[in-house]
Amino acid sequence: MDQSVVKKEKNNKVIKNIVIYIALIVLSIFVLVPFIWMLSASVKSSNQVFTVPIQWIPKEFHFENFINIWKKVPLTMFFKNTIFLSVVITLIQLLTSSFAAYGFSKAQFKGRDVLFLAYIGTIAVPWQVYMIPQFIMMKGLGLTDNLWALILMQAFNCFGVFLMRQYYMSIPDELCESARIDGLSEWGIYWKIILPLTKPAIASLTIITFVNTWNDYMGPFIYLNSTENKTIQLGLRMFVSQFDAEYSLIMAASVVSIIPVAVVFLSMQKYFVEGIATSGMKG
Amino acid sequence: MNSNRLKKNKWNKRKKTLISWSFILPNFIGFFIFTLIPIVFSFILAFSDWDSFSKPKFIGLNNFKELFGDATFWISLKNTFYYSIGVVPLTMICALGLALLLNKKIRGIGIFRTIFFFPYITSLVAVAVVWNMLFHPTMGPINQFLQHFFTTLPGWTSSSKWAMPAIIIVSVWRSMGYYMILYLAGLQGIPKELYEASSIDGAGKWEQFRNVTLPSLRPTTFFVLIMLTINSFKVFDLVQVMTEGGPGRATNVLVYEIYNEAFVNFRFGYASAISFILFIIVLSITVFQFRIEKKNAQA
Amino acid sequence: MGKKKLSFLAIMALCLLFVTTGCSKGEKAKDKTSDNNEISLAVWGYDQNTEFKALVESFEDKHDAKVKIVDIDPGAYENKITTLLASGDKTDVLAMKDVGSYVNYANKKQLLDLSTYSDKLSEEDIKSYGENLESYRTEDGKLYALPFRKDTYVLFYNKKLFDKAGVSYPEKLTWESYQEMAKKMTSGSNEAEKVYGGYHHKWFPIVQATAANQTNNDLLKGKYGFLKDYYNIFLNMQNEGSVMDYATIKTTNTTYSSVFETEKAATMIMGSFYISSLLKGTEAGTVDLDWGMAPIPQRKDSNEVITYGGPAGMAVNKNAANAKLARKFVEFCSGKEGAKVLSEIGITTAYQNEEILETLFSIPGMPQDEMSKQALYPDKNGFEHAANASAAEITKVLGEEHDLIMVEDVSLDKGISNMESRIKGIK
Repeated sequence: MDQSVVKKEKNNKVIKNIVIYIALIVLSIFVLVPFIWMLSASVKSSNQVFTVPIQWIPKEFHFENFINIWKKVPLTMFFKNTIFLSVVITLIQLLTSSFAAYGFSKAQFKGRDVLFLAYIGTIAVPWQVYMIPQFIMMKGLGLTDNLWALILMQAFNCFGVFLMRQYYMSIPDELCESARIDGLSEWGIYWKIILPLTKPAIASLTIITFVNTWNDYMGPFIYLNSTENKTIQLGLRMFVSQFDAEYSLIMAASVVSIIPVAVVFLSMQKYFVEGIATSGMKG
Repeated sequence: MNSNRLKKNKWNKRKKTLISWSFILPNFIGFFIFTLIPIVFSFILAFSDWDSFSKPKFIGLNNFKELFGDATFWISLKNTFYYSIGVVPLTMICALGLALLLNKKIRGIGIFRTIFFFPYITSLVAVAVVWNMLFHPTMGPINQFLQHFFTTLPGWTSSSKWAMPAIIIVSVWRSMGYYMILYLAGLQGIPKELYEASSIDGAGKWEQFRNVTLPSLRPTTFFVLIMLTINSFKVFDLVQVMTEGGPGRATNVLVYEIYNEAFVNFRFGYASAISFILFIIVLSITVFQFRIEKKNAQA
Repeated sequence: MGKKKLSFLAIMALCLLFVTTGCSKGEKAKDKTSDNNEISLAVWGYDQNTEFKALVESFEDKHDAKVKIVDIDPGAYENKITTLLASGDKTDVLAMKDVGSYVNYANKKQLLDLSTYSDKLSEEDIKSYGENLESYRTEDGKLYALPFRKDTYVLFYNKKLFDKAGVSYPEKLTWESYQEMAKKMTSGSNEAEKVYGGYHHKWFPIVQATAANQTNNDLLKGKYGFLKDYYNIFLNMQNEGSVMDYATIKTTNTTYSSVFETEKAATMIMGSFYISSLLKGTEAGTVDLDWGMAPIPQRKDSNEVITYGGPAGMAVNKNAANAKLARKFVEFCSGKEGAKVLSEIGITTAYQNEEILETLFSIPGMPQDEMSKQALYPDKNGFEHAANASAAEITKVLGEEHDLIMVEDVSLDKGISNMESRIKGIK
């Protein structure tokens, strides 16, 4: 009797899982359509890319596209620059914004909320508006055609502060209070209590910052001139010219350029696997 | 004795402020110099005539006066609201749905999460090209599917009526994986004990979702809502690659208009004035959302 | 309150101070005297647009100079140039992609006045330039850029497709005979096998500049009734299915080169800049076509051949580090020497005469028939519009309304009255 209930429950679970898998697979196919097109375009010849109706499986395969892209533009150099930018910006962003977020959520001082509103306020200003004043300033600092200009400009993003603050807010103040009573300094509380509790938030900030930097086009476009400084996204556009667009090569390069981002994502997403079970935490 | 204590208290308070600032400062310095100063500068420009080359000329409220009589400005404002109202709720629902579906411990879940994140990392050039093909009025798969059910088919990006819905669909598709990440992180922060407690109380799945999941996700939802709203008002890239603001001015949004005024007509002062309006709108929506959030949090 | 206001003002003042002092300091730091024989040149799509490389190499060779390239994405070229100029960048020579933004830079005094160039021209030079040099003259009567390229819109056709259909090659067509020819040359019912008789790319000047030049009107004047006949022809052909429809071209990002090179269209109205890309492709083995050129279709009542095409030029930055050599380079590109270099790779030049044209047609792969030569030597080869201060703003409106007319979202009459009323609002 007892056993059959267990068995039935187990069966139910298997059926439930199968339903979930089917749902996920169907959704995945829908979501991946453009990527599949990208893949198929990347092994076509350039003038076969735009055929109407869409040709999902190429008539002939041009795998050499994946070799040619490395010959046409210095992709290795672009990769190196982009990796440098993404890694440095992500690191600075993580470090400084988790500090600041702690200040904005767990510390009390005059003018805190006003300052925070100023932070959020700037998110609302589109970059196109202050692009030129910013560029003039960077040029004044002698930082054009220099990767550091992009780092300085993007690493102190208010988005990260806002994101981390929201997660810190969900950690009850009582936890900090009791630690304070135990004689832990503010830095100690940050390091030993808050940081370990917000792993998923750190993971998501890492992913988002990394991806945004990786895919940024306008920033590098405005700031970088010489080929040895250029990034992947600029490299992708180098394939597109005014009069003939080599879309198969662009797509091949796009496919290659996605790989590092996908790897970062896969390695970070494991921090979403298990929930944090801390007793006494409220929502 | 008493004054000594007061002094100590004061010192303590100062020390506390100092420590708080030590947390904020590393980020604040960079933010102040490289973001805030240029922004303040560009807001000053909103009250001047500037072509980006010569010295700005102060003209008071003239930019704004002109703005209110500018038909293209009103069209782009309307389009921006249209886009925002479409994108914000849809993306939120899809992102939360995906996060709930993917917040499971089953085999291969990492792969699925990556897949749903893929639209966000696929290059915009590819996104524009593919979706425009999918949306093709006669030969595109979407309309070929729809023709089984409807007699008149939408023209999508080649009609001024349907171009905006098309952009909204692509936008939701592209960014839902991004917000899914934020929701996943939020879901992970909910202690299991809460579910255990409510399940002892005999709550069903739906009640658990309503009474445990949703309230616990409030900070995340708030963040997602604010970011989505702000980003929807700042939409630019997608419009640029999909329709270039067209057909006609059907998908001309505020930032696109700002960009045009600045880089096509060299009117940076005027462009700054538009962005000033954009800023005021977004700020008031944000403050409003903050108020409601605070009220909810207290309740 | 007072205190708050004060501190706000202080912050503002600080900002301004920062921006201005930052500027001057940077300039001083970067103000090293560059080598006298080196200049920098900003261009769009250096690798794809072979003309830049040809000019640079030849100049370096002849003048023992070094030209440093700043290669910029064509899609956002003006954007980057504006930002560079605003920051006081010292890039010496800037290639000018379209007339509208050229006028803007010139009016904002960002470019060096090159007017004296026209004073020292010989009789022969003046004749060779025709109106091409003058097309860059702004309203203040000065020249801020010199053209090196001048396009001519012609009717490209695919000889093989005509042979197969047993139709004679197009010659001097009227718009009526062009429509008939396009109908005849259209074949295939399903999309995969379809071959169109003609191809009209999405750019608005293909309708509007053609109309303006052939009816002797001006696109910047604000009256657009003359466009009606032309739009009727283009819309008719699209509805008959003898050209690919506008919505498809736009939504599928169709590139004109892929349509012509995959033999999806028997004829195509396109600028002469396409010649060099066809020749390059043929040489590299990526293009396998037998093609020819004819003049674009003309009005029935006209016995002249009238077409149009934009110039492309070079300008010297006002802040150029090496203005003297920069000027030399710009004059080299525009003048006889540059024209020779360019005509060897299939570019139609602003400085044009029999000799240059001969060089152009002696390139292997160029069609040799008389009609192709005539196509590049029309009776009148006009421009899209004059170098007028409001050109950029007006053409933006024209482009938007063109969009709506071609996807048939508004009726032709409504579209034209929209153009007129919107352009009235532009100062």
